[in-house]
Amino acid sequence: MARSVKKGPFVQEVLLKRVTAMNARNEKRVLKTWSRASTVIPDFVGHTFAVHNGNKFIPVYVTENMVGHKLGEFSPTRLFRGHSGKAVDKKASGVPAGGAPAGKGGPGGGGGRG
Amino acid sequence: MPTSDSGSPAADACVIVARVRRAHGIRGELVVESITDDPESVFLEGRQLLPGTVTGARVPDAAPLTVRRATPFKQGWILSVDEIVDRTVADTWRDRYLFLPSAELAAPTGDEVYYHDLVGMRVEGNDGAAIGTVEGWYDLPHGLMLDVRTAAGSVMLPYRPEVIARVDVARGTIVVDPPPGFFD
Repeated sequence: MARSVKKGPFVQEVLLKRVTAMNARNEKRVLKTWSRASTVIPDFVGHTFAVHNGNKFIPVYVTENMVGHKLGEFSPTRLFRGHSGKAVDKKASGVPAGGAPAGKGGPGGGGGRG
Repeated sequence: MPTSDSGSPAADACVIVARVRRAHGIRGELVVESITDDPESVFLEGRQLLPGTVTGARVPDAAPLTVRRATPFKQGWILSVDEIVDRTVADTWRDRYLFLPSAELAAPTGDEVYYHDLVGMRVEGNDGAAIGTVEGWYDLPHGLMLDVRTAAGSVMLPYRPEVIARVDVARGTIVVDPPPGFFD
């Protein structure tokens, strides 16, 4: 059953207090939290939370499209390394990059830490 | 394009574009997981995909697979290739990687960097202080995360302009400018 609308979204009280205080000071610093069940509310946008996954803290930079989801959704408890370490045709973008001798594959086209 | 003695593209000039998941139907079709940003242009009719092993190594002298037809299917693609015509043979391809020479793919432009080029890069602060080394990457639903090995252990670094100031592929460095407390 869905949570009652009357109650509003669940956000850990301490976490909300800390975010509100940071917003009042116009400050940005990483907030460590174990509260994976807390809902991302619009006040969280632009902040970085280190959300515990049972093993370590996973940094989550909150953007607008995360609002309404739970913090735990962005801190996976099982990380599938998958094709990490292999030379795959996937490109990262969005960060200023330079000096790219791009187009090369990795050693042996794979292997590595697979 | 660099080639090996056998005339096939050298292993270091190829990148993985797909992984065979299972056979589909009785006519030798393969269900593949696409490991590329642009599967529509990779799985073109007539494209020759180079076979690899289940561990992701190239098989240098293996005959390529020629794509006959490719159709999107659930999370992946169904490939029909000229060289595989029955399910028994298709079953033997399970979990094998498929490669393409990187010269046949669009080179990274502008701010694009291959994921595998990020592995092994030094991570340093804005002041040039060494922080750690990238050990791997995770393609999570909310974006790319880099696994950075620091003196204090492993730290996940979101590949976002709010955290990473710039990437210098030639120097092999990633300059980060994270919010205070990030590496605590």
